[in-house]
Amino acid sequence: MNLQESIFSFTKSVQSTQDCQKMSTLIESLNSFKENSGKEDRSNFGYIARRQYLQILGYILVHQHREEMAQKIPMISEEELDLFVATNNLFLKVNMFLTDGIAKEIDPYKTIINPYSLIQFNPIETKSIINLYSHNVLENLRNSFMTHPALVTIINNPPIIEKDHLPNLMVNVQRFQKQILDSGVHNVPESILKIQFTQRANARVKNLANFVSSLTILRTVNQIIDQLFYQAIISKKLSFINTENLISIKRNTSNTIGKGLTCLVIIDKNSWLIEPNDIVLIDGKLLNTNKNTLGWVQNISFTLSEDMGNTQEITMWLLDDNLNPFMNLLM
Amino acid sequence: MNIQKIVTEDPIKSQWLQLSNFMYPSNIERFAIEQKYPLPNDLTKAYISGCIKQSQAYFESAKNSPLDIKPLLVYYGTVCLLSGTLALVNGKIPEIKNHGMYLSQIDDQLANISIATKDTKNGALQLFSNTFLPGLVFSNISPLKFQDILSFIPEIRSDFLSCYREAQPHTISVQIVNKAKVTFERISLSEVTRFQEIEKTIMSIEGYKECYISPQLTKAFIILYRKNTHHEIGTYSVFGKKYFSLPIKNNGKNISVNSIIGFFMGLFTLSTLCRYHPEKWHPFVTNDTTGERLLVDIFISNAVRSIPNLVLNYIYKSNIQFIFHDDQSTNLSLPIYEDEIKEIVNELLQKGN
Repeated sequence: MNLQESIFSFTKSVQSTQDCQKMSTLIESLNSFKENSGKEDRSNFGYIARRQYLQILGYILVHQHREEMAQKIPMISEEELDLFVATNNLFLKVNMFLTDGIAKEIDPYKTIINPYSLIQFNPIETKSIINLYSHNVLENLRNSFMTHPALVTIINNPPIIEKDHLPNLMVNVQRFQKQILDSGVHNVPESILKIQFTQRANARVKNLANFVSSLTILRTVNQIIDQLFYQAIISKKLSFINTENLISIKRNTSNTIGKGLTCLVIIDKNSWLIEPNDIVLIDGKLLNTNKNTLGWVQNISFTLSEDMGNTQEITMWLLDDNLNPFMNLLM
Repeated sequence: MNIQKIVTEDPIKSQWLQLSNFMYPSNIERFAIEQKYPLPNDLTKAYISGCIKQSQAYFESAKNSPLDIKPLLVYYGTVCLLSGTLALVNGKIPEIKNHGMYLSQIDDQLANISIATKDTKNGALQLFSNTFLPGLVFSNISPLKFQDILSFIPEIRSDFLSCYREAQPHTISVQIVNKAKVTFERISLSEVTRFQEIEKTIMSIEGYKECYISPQLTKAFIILYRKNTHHEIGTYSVFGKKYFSLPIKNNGKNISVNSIIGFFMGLFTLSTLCRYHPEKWHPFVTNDTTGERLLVDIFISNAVRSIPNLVLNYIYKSNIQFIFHDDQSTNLSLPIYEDEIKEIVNELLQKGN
């Protein structure tokens, strides 16, 4: 079973739990407001939390920093905070379980691969218990993760990195990822192009590049797993881009990092809730492939016009079967 | 369908110049070979040339004739033209034995006159429909009202709406909007004030769901974005404007006629009144106070202008537009919109990163 199949199995398990419904209701109460409901409008809380792009952790951070924010942020109750903390603990547990003890070559880099490392927040104790998945599906997810090509690359060719240099490595991986994301889905940063085309023959440079790339890929894949986990909690289905809402494909490119897609879509019931960092499903027919493809949304820009209707331009990385957006990065 | 523009100061004269090609047997033969139509024999060629020549003569005569007899002349001209075209594309003389329709109910108000169909084997109406509107079978159809027939003709849409204030048209005009990277269509809300549940109505148009995404309603328009499986649906008037056609429910069937058949049926109605019911026609021509006479005038003028053009469009599988003026300069500048500027700036910024 590849990683995509495993994560679908995992998310299906999440959605079948009662606690999923409980969390979904809580999150919705912080993201929408009904007039005449007699309740306080707390949608501002959810709006800011979503813009942290850190899934459940975003809600905890907003709570912890609400006094520092310029706009007035509504309160959440202790009970609600407990639920968020308990759920976030499950996210941390998933991240750790995927990498704990899978190979000694990976052990030094577990923190780098964890997408929540480098996020500063004050841990909160909680006695609440949330059940969102069975151990079997988590086990299957880990088994699939263990066969990820990026992981295998590190295991087969582990570099020797001094322990003291690990913090530097962490910063470099984070910078590398940021460089790729900032240049957009259709472009390759100059610095990476240089290595890919001029340094290929240099085995040492190539190995080092692959190592950093693998860590970046694994960190990103973990981010995507967390995002899919989060989307499973808050909604029933992935947003689906298909012939019913696609106006045009503006750009569909493949470069030495991965595959990028920019498409113009109307705003309808399948596509109106899409936000940056979301994972969406694209109809395979639109990409001339046999099966549907996952996309990781990077940017959305809306056009709301009386003369031309309401459209959104969505830019995304396409994911392969191993949830990898940077599928061409390894040399 | 591709667009062919012919610059002329007299569209009617130019149309007939084009059609007069088919008054010559050698041109008929060459055309049939080029288009891979069945090759007509000498008798059929004579039939075709005779029909086209007579048609032109009838249309010419109608120009200066009073309304008392004008519909009859235009109707005969139309029958000749359509029969000749049938023979041209089929390679044989059509076996037309009657009009294929009759007036089943005559009323003082033209709108309420009913047209019933008959003889779907050898009647002109069915035989013409088989060529110009394939798929429409007139058997088991209840009589259609004259008003309904007119409601299908886009060329007289605005005059129809002015005359019949409560009637629902069965065409909707569509604007095509071309932007740099996408083409979409839209319908002005002012065009659809007489429709109930307009979004549902649009989605029920044959072929709509295959070709367009669900319509979006704004304050001024209904926006229609094309799917990537889009193919052309709808029709174009002789003036190049696009329309969707909406069917009428008739005996459980969806009936919709195009301009050629609509003009043909409408002209039959008026010419029958004119020829066989002068006791109705004469008072109408001299004393009408309802405004229908004006609509009839406009209908016949449009028939004279449009029918030869529609036939040429059919023959040449093209949207032929006779235009008065063509700008001879080539404009290479492109209009650019705010959202396109933003897109270009975003792309440049990303590349800069």
